[in-house]
Amino acid sequence: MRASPRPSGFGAFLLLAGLCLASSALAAEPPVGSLVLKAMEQEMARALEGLRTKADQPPYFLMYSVTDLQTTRIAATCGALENSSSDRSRLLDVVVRVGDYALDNTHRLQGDRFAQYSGYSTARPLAIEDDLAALRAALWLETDRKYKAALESLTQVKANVAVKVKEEDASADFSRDEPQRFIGPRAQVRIDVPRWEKRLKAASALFNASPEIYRSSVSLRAEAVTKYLVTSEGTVLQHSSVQIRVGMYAETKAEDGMELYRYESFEARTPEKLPDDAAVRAAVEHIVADLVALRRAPVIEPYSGPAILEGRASGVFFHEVFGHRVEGHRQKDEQEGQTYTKKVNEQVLPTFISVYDDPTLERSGNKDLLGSYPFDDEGVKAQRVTVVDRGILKNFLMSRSPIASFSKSNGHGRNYPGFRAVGRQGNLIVEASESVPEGKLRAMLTEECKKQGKPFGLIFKDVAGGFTFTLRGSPQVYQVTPLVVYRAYTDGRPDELVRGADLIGTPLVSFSRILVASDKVEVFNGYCGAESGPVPVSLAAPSILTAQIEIQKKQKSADRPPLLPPPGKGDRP
Amino acid sequence: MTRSARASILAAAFLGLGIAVGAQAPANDDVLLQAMREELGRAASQLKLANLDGPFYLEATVSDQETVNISASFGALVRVDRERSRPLRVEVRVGSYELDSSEFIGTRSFYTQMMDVPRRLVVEDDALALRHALWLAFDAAYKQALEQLAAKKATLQNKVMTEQIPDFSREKPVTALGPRQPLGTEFVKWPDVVRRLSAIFREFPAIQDSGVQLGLRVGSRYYVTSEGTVLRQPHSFATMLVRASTQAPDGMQLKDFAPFFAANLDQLPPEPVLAAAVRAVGGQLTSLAAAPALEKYAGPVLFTGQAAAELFAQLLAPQLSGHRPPLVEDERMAAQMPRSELAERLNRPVLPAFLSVTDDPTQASLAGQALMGTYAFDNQGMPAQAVTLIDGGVLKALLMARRPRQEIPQSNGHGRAFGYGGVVTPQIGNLFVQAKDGKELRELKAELLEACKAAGLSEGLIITKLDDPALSGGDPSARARRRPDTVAAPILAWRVSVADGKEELVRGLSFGEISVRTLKEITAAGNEPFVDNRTATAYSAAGGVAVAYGAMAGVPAAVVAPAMLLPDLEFSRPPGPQQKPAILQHPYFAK
Repeated sequence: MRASPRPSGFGAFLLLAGLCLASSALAAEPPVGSLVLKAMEQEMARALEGLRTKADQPPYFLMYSVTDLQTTRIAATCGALENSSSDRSRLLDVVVRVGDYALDNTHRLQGDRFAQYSGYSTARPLAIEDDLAALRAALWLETDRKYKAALESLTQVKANVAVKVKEEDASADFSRDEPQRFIGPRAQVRIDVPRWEKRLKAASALFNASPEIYRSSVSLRAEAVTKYLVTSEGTVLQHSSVQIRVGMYAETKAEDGMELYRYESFEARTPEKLPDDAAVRAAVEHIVADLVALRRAPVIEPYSGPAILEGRASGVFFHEVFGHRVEGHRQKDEQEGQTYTKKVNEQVLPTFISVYDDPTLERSGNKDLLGSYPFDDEGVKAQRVTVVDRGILKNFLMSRSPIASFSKSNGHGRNYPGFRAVGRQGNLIVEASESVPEGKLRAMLTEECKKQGKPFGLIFKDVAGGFTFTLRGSPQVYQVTPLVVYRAYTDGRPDELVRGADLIGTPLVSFSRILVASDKVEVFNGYCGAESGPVPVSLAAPSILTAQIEIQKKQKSADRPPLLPPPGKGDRP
Repeated sequence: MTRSARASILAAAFLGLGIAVGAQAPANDDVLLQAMREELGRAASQLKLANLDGPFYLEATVSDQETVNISASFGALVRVDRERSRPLRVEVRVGSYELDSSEFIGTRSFYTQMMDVPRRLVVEDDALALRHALWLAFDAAYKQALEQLAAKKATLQNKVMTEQIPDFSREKPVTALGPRQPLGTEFVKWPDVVRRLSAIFREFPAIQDSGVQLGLRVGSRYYVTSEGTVLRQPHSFATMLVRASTQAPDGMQLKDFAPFFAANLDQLPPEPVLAAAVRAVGGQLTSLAAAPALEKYAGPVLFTGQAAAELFAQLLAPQLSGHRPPLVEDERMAAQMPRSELAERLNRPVLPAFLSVTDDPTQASLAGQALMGTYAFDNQGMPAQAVTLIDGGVLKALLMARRPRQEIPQSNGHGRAFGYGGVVTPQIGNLFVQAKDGKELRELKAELLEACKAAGLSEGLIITKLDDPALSGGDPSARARRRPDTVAAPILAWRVSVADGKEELVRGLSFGEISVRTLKEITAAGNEPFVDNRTATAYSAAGGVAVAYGAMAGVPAAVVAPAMLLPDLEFSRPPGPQQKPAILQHPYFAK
C-alpha cells in the first residue's frame, strides 16, 4: 500500500486485509439496554437541558457514539509465535452541531486548504467497565470540549460564508432522518487461544520448506465490536458484530529486486466457521506456488489493450474507479473532481451493468460480506441503494450530508472512531443483466486482440487493492495493484504469468470500453481507507472483458535479494 | 536485579571474565543468545557484496521482555493489557573506525533508512525462526550501511573538514551473563489497586479530569557485537503515575501529577502511601484552582524539592550530552541540528564555584531511595562509570557514548538508547548536583527575602514543583513547540511576603527567558538533596529533541539536587487565550 504522494492528493484507498462485519452476534446476555447506554442517555439529557438554559447558543444536535472493541491477535512466523495478545478498548465520539440543519459548524470552509483534515480528532478512550459515574464523567468532559470547538467553528463558518462567493450546491448541512431504536445483544467472541497458537505456528512452519520465501506470517485477528449510539433526535442503538480473520502472507524478491507478495484470507463470524487445517495448508501451498512462479516470471512492459479482469480484480476496479466517485459528500465539495455529480439519470456505465450497494446483505454466494451493518455510524438504518440501473446513474451513497439532488441519508454515513462520518461504500454489488459463460471470456479476449492487431491480451486474476484520487487538485486517476497477471497470447501459446504491472487509468474512459461481463461473480473483502478512516467493505462483481486497459511499470526496490542463504540445517555449526 | 547480582556482573566485567556468573544457566542453554551469536557470526564473516567492503562492525540488541499497562479513571478501568515481545535492533557499520557509515543524514536517505529491517523477533525459543529474522535484519542493515557510506563520502568530498575525528571509538569488549529475568509477572491484584486509587478523585469536586496509570517493563537485555561483547542483563522498571487536571474559575488550565518509580511492582510504595499521594494531588489541585493568579513576577526565586531537581533535569542534563551532531548533507538542516550549549565550554565555569555535578549510574540508591538511572552496562556494552562533569563550577567532562569528540576520544559509559530498540546517544544516568556548604531551607528563605528587600520587592517566589510534560501529559501542540532550552511551567509556586514571611499558593506563571546559562547566577544552594526519578529527555540522533511521552517511553534516570536560589528570573502568564470554564458541573458532583 502506498500513501498518496502529497496531502492535496489524498483520495481514497482500498487496503488489502479483510475483516468480516455482520449484524449477528452470539447472544450471551439478554438484549437489554446496557449501563453504557444508560450513562449516555442520562448525560445526554443533562447536557441538552443544561446547555439549553446555560449556553447562549445551545446545540441543535448532539450525538454520543461508543465503540467497544475486544480484540484477540495471534501471529506466527517460521513455526514460532510472534505475538499473542488480547485487548479491550472503548472509544468515545461526541458530535456537537450548533447553528441549524441548514448551516452549522460542520459546513466546509471554502478556500481552506486544511479543510479535508478537519474531520478528524482523536476518539477519547473510555472506561471499559460499566461504571455509571466514570462513564458520565468522560461524556461530560468530551461534550464540553466538543461544544466549545463547535462554537468556534460556527463563527468561522459564518464569516467564511459571508466573505466567499456563493457555493454551487446550496443544500443544507445536515439532513433530517428518522430516529432509530434498536437494542441488540453485546458482542462476544471466544477464541481458543492455545489451540489457535498451535495451528498458526504449524501453518507458518509450512513456509520453511521454501527458501525463496523471505518473509511470511500466518495470523488470526478476532474482533468483537459493540456499538452504542444515542442522539438528541431520539435515536438509541446498541448493536454488535463479530469479525474473525485468518490471514496468510508471504513475500519474496525477484533477482532484479522486485518485491513480490501474496495474501490470502478467510473471514468468518464465529470461530466454528474458520478454515480447517487442510484449507489453511492449501492456501499456504497456493501462495508458495504463486510466488515461486512469479519470481521466475518475465517483467511486462507498459501496455495498452484488451484485458479480462476476473471477479476480484473487477470488484476492486469498480470500487476505486466508480464507487469512490458516487460517495455522496463528494458531489457537494467543490474541491472534488465531481465526475458524476451532474449525471443523474444519464448513462454512465454500459447498459448491461447495474450497481448497488447493500449493507443489509450478509453474504454473496457462500462468502460472507464484511461490509455489512444494520445501522450506519450516524444511526441511520442501512439500506440497499441502487446506484446504477442498467447503465443509468440513479443515486449516490449518502450520509446525513445532503447534496442538491438528494436531501436524505440512505444509510451510508460511515467512519472509524475519531473521524467525521461521510458517505462510504458498504457491500458494492456489480450485476450484469447479460452475461457470457466465464469459460468463453478467454476466446473473446483473443478475438478482441486480433481485431485490434495485438499479439496478446492480459488476464488479471487477483489484486491486492488500489487507490484513486478524487480531488480536483490532482488528476482523476486510479491505480489497481495486481498480484497475479497472465499474458494471453493470440497464437495458441499457453498463457504466461508476468510481473511488474500496475493497472492505471481514468474513470470515464475506462467504463466506456467494457465489452461483456461473465456469469461468474467473486467477492473481495477488504478495508477501505478514506477521509473518514478505515472501514470494512465488500465487493462482489463478475469478471469483465474490456477493450482497453493500460498498465504501467510497478515501482521497484533496487535492493538485491538477501546475500546469504537463509539460516537452516545446512549452515548450522 | 538484586544488588549482589549486579555487583557480581560488574566484577566479571571489570576483570574481563568471559564466563557466566554465579549460578546462572550457561550461555549455550540460551537459545536466543545462541541464535544472536550464530547469526551475527555468519553475517560478520560472510556478508559481503563483490567489490565492496564487508562490515567492520555488527551488533544486535534484543530485549526479551514483557510490558504491562493498567490505567483507570474515576473509579473504572480504561486499559488493562500485557504484551510479550522481543524488540530487535541491529546495527551494521561499513568503512572503518575512522570513517564509517554511521551518523550521516543524507537528503535522500532520510526517508528510506531502516525502512525494511525487521524490528522484532519471535517470542519463543525457536532457533530457526529467531535466526531467520536476524538474517534479514543484518542483510538489510548491511545494504543500507553501504549506501550510507557512499553518500557520506560523496558529501564529504564537497566539504572542508577542519577536524578529523573518528566516527567510532575503539573500546574493550566485555562479556557478562546475568540471570535471565523471569517473565510472566503476576499482576492480578493491580487492576483493583489502580481502580481504587483512581476512585479517590471522587472526593474532589473541583477536579475535572484524572487518571492513574501503572506501567511495568521487565525482561533481559541481550547485546552481542562483532568485537566480542556478549551481554545478558536483566532489567525491570515499574511506574505508577497519578495525573489530574482542572480549570480555575477564570478558565485557566491547571494540572498536577505524582510519579512513582520502582524496580518492580512489589517495590512500589504500599497502597496507603499511594492513596495519600493521590489525595495530595487532589488536594493541591483543588487549592490551586482556588488560588489567586499571579500573572507577572520578576525577581529572586527559591527552587526547592522536586522543582530544584527538575530545573537541573530540564536545563542542564540535556546540555551535558557530548553527542557530536551527525554529518548532514543539507545545509539548512545541518544548521538546525541541536548542539549542546555547553560542549564548547570545557574547562570553563558553567555553574557557580560552590556547585559540582557528577553522573553515577553505579549508585543504586541514596539514603534508602532507589535511583532509577542505575545500570551496569550502557547500551553499547560499556561498563557504567561515575563521571565528574562539573567540578567547582568548571565543566570538566561531557557524557559520552562511542562517538568521539575532538577533546574526548572515548566513551564514558553513557550511551543510552532512547526507548528499547532506539538509537543510542549520550544521556544521564543518575545525575548528582552537589553544593559545598549547602544551607538549611530556613536560611535560604531568609536569603530570598533579603534579596527581595534589596530589589525593592514586597514579595518573593518559592517554587516547589515544576511540570514535567513527559509525565504529566498535556497539550500536544505545546509539546511540539517545546524547545530544549526552556523549562516547563511551575505547578506549585508560592509568593512570600517580605513583611511577614507568609506564604501563599499562586497559579498562572510560566518561565520567561531562561537557559542553561541562567544557572551560573545561582547564589545559594541547600543541603538536603531531593531525588527526582524521571525519564530522560535527550537529543535524538536524527536531530531535534526526542521527548517521549509517558512514563514507560523514555530512559529511566534520576536527578538529585538540593534547593537553589536564583537572583533574578522573569515569569509571565501562559501564552494563548484561556478556554472558558466548563459550562456544566461535573455530573458526579452536580446537585
